[in-house]
Amino acid sequence: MARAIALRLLGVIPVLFLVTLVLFVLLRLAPGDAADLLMPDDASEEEVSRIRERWGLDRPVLEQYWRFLLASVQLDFGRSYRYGEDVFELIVNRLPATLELALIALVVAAVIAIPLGTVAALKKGTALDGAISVFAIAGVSTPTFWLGIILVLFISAEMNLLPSAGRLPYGVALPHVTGVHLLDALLAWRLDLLGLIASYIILPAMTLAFGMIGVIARITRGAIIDVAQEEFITTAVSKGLARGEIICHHLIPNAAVPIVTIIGLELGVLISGSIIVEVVFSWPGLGTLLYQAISVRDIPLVTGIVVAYTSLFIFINVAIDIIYFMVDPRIRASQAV
Amino acid sequence: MAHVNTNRKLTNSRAGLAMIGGVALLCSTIFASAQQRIMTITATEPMTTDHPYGESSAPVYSMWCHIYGCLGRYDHVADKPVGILAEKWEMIDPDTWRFTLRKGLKRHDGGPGPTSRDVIHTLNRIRTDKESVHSSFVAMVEAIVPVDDLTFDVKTKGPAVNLVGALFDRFIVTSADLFEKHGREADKKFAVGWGPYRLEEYASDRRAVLRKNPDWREVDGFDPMEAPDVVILQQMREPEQRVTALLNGEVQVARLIPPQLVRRLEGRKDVKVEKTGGIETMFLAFNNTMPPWTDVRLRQAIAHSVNRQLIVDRLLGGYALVQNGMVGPNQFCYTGKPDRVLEFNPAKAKQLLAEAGYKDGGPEIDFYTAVGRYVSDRQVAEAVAQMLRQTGFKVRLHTPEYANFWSEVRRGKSPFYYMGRGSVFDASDAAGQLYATGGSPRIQYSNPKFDELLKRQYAELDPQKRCQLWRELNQILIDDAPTHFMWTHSVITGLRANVELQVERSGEFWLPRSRMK
Repeated sequence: MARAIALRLLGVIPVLFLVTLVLFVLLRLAPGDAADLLMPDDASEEEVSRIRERWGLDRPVLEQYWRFLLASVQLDFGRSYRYGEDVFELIVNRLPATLELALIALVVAAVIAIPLGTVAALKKGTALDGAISVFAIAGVSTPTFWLGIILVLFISAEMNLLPSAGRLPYGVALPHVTGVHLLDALLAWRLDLLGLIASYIILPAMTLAFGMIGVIARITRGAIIDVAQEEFITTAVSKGLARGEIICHHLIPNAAVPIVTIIGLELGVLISGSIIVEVVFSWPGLGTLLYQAISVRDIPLVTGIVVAYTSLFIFINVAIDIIYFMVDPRIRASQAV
Repeated sequence: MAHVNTNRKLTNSRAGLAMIGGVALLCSTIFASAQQRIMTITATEPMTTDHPYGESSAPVYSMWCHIYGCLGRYDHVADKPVGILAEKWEMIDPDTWRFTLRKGLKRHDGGPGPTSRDVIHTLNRIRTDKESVHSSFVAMVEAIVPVDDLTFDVKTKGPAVNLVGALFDRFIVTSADLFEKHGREADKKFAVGWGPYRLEEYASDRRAVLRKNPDWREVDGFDPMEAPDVVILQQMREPEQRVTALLNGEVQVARLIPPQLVRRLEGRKDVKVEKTGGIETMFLAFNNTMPPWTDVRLRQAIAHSVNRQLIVDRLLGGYALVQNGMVGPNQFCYTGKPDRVLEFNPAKAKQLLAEAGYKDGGPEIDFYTAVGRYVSDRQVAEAVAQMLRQTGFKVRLHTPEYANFWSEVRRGKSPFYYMGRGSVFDASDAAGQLYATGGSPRIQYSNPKFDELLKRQYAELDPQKRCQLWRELNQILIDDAPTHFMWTHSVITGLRANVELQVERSGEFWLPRSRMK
């Protein structure tokens, strides 16, 4: 197992190299120039050229890429053109907000989708199964930016139940430990703040979770229907085991592998897919940072964030492998041989 | 804990009622807010750096001007420049302006008031700091020479009657002492200046929190006692969200409301809508060296093809003012309607096309617009393209991403496009860059008479004579049509009913003159 994980981690190096290379080339090929966008409309051509020179944008692309590679192996992604800050620090500061949003969305989605998928599988072919399928397809099909705006319009504007934007209001003193507000409030035992923090996270998390509910529910349904046709389930039924016991001890554990896989993959999708949601809800995470960076062709920042997303995605995949190992005795057995 | 505004609290309270544990917090914040006036204003432009010269947009200039202080501002109500850190300014010869700083100002940390040394440091930093993007508006400055501690001369590279307009609002004066001691860290840990508000918190892409400087008095002695104690500039890029936040009471001022959302605010007692004539000039621009736009008849045919008033009425909800020439009613030196204008006249457009050799239709043209950069830009471009087709032009409409669009325009590679120029109050600099020979590659217009008149107006000290020169300049731009001017958008701002705020034509406001009941 350890060897497999080590090999997987070694495989990260060429992947990251390729990602940075492709990104660098694409950003260079794309029309639009950072210096043009950094300077105001009334800047002269000389001033724009000066900015280009200051940031090294006038040097050959290969030279720029080589400098970037040399620095990035030391986790130095350079300075953001727009923010004027160290890219690595910017990412570290913003990552907790994105992780908090993605994890809450994941939990919400899993808690709703797994029971829904299970019920749909157990009631296969009934009206309830159909209704759940419709709900799942609606979730997958709904664009997040549209859903986000609709939620803001109805829940914030019409019903005035939850705030429409931001992460925490001004004036709330919360000790910064992890940067994940819910966790920080718990660590500081500020239970009074949990409701307030949750009120800001509910709408963006619901927006993100909605699409994922559909995917997980459909996969859960399919996995349970497959497992239900296995001989050991027939055996369990013929032994006279209670329905609940069969579902909890035989059906769901054996259907867990595809469900865990999709949850893991969806977490990666959630993290990268949160860009639009973060912009819609002014959530100060990596998504808003990337949006801003792309809009001004901030190459060091875009590259740094995409490397961070890629690394997270790979890390999640390795974590899924470990979870497989834990939940499926067959995989443990095959590794032991 | 002490600073949560009343309306924000109302929102929080609703959320808190739904959330266990929020109640205690809300009670304490309601009590705290009764003691101070907190105004939350939406910020629509990027807020990415605490470097006072690191970003260039009118709202960012305004924010730093409130904190560090700038030399002065243009009071659009009184229609004259007003001092902020400067109390006096005069042109002592065509190439020199003399400024006198105010006495008796104290820095927020108790340090000394601004001096000529701080002003010279500011100019140097704007020009040499690697992160500064403010250098364009000081391009006309040759040097700043101290006369004494509070007096300095600004030497310009040539006659510059427009210097005050160019520097005021944007020349953010920072402390030479603090920068010498702390370098760039001065912006982070010692962001103190002389302005009416001091910086309490800066979180990029989220908010800036400003607290009133209790010692501040306006240059005329006005005590801003009714101005908000705390101002939160809250980043909200999405218009829907800004309107929602205003209706909720999450914010007290929602800026840049697009026309299509105004209806949501109308007829409500708890909010009001302020409409101010703006100074962002929108136009259809041609690259005058690219065929077919080398032919003035075709440029004029475009102008006669577009029904500007119809677009304003139907598409922009009436929230724009049709503009003839570069100087319109909201701008400096407007002397009434020009003698000749290019009105909507499809028959005339067709005649001009026929004269130019396109009797049977054509030419084929590429028309570019940014998307989401200006109010309803794509929709406007679609309407314009349709009108042009009706006259006979064969139009291909392109809607690239702004970064691509702007890059092509800046390099002079866009043949024909719809765009705007913000904050054009005194049109001198914008005219110099867009229409003077060799000003920039964007339009590539050249007219020796225009160049000569433009140069003369820079040196004309008599305002009436200068405005008369502008009338002539305006007429040349209408007749030659290197661009066809469309309109200036109105600045629409949503306010809670308890807020009084004078929104300037630039879209900005001066907080010490605002009131919060």
